[in-house]
Amino acid sequence: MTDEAVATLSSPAGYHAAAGEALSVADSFSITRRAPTIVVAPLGPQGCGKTTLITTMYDQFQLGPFAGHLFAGSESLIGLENRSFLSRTVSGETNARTERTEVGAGEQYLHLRLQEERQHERPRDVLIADMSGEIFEKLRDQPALAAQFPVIQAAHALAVFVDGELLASAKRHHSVLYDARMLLAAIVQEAPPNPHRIFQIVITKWDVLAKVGRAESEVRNEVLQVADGLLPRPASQPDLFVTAARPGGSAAPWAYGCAALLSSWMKLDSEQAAMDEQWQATADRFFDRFKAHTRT
Amino acid sequence: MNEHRLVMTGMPAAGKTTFLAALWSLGISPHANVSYRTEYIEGDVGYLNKIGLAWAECTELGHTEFSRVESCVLRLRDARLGTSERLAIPDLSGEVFVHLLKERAWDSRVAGPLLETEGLLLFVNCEKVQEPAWIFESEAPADTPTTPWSPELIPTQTQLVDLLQCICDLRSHRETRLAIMVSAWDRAASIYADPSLWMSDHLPLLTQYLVANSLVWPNKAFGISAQGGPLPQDEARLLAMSPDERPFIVEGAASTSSADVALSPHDLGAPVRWLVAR
Ligand SMILES: Nc1nc2c(ncn2[C@@H]2O[C@H](COP(=O)(O)OP(=O)(O)OP(=O)(O)O)[C@@H](O)[C@H]2O)c(=O)[nH]1
Ligand SMILES: Nc1nc2c(ncn2[C@@H]2O[C@H](COP(=O)(O)OP(=O)(O)OP(=O)(O)O)[C@@H](O)[C@H]2O)c(=O)[nH]1
Ligand SMILES: [Mg+2]
Ligand SMILES: [Mg+2]
Repeated sequence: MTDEAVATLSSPAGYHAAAGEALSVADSFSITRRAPTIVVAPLGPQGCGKTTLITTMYDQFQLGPFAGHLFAGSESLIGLENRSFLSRTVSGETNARTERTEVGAGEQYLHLRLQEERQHERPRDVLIADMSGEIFEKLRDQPALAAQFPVIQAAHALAVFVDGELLASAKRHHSVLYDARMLLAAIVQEAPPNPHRIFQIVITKWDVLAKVGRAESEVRNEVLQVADGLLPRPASQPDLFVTAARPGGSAAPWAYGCAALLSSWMKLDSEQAAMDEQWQATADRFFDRFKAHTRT
Repeated sequence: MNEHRLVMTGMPAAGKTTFLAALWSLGISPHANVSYRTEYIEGDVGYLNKIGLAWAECTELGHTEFSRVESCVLRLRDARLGTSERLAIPDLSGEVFVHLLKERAWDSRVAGPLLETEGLLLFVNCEKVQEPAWIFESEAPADTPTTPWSPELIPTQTQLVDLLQCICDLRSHRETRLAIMVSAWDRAASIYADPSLWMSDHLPLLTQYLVANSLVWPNKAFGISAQGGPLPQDEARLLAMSPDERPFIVEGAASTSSADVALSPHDLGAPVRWLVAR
């Protein structure tokens, strides 16, 4: 492409296309205003596998329907591709990896529009927060900071991620469970009570635990104790998922457990949540706060 | 006279110009059994003649230059209905869509036709699909240099979904008929009887997107061989044939109705007929 050709294109008469990158809170309004939207927040320290899990879910749609759903579109298609790149052979990498999410990017979302495979209902929108683990480390230490993050107020599912690779390490084994409990305690304390919200625990990198011969039921029981006595009624126990989004080696299949997790999100009743007055009040507050924030 | 506007979209080397060349030449040919025959030659058809002659000689058409937008007008008689049709169908360079993918801005010379169009032809060359491939520990490719990310490296199916999403936004989600043109079909025809099946095997993301969005994009797939075979390999064989009989088309299922539209296996006008049918 010549430089002159490019110059004629940037004429003021040109129309802009959506960037297709991860969406900011403000960007996400174009989706949330159109239809009740499922909002999900993966929470956990740096490197625990949040971004990899989201992009792996997206990657599965590259091959066909996944978790009983068809891919109906995404307003963050470029952002998803970008995050998946270092796991693709075209990148020239020899080991698949994921670029760390920058703390400066703050609260941002990846978007999927999915339609149930068997029923011909309208597609539903899911926004999945993709935030740096550093943010959650700060939240764990200073829970009141949660007020600055709309996602903590408004997400339908708050999922605490526990790094399976650290669970497999003799030294880190105990501290990673403490870490998860401290984060969950902070989040439960700060998220306004709501009957439509669920809490989840997601064990990542199961392949590493499987490789050292850990039994799944035993690990599940151990990790579930992280939530003992923390959750508001009626959900006194969180749902727990065991995943290996991108296993190294053959100890677990690719995207292990990811379909179950995505299905659990798609079952969330965002419509009922949207009609619920209390929920609406929470959402409004988060909209207002945002407006106030942009005015300054 | 019925006025129609269509736009051919698709990445570079997707088969747009070759299709247009064959459509034009078949319309001029005295005996071709096709949906549309040329009725009147309007304005300057130098470009259409140039690509049509190259097509007749089995010369591969060069890449369409980014800086050019060839506005082509075909005045046609509908062979079945006997009506007069005027079809405006610009030949755009695939670079225009690469530019959109990378710069996230529409070339205004393209946005105009896309806003006005009655239907869209989306070309994909079945030999030039970049399928997604992942690194798994066991099969790490040796010493390939690492490459920085660029939108051009994303899989073809994602590029096409992105393109359709951008067009959908541009057109404010207006319902638009979409013909998926799987070109170089001569390379897939021995394996696939139906271009829709080829699509669900090779472009599953696009296939899902179209199933879920068939209200905005009523769609039908066509397998198109505008040359009749690969060039230059098949040049001698193709030159020995009547140009009318070289191209062929195979219809896939439509999201709307399944009736076939082609008058003959060589009727490259079929997608146009399906797009403008009311
Ligand atoms: N063995 C194994 N490694 C994994 C798995 N999932 C992710 N990883 C690796 O863990 C590393 C960190 O994963 P990320 O997805 O970047 O973690 P994150 O939680 O988004 O981290 P931040 O963005 O820094 O907060 C990546 O390099 C992955 O390759 C898995 O299932 N198994
Ligand atoms: N085998 C085969 N190849 C074809 C056929 N039609 C086109 N091609 C090949 O596809 C390539 C691109 O064709 P073009 O028609 O120039 O593609 P285009 O979409 O106009 O490309 P740009 O102008 O770059 O945007 C050429 O290498 C052709 O030889 C066909 O019917 N069969
Ligand atoms: Mg991350
Ligand atoms: Mg061309």
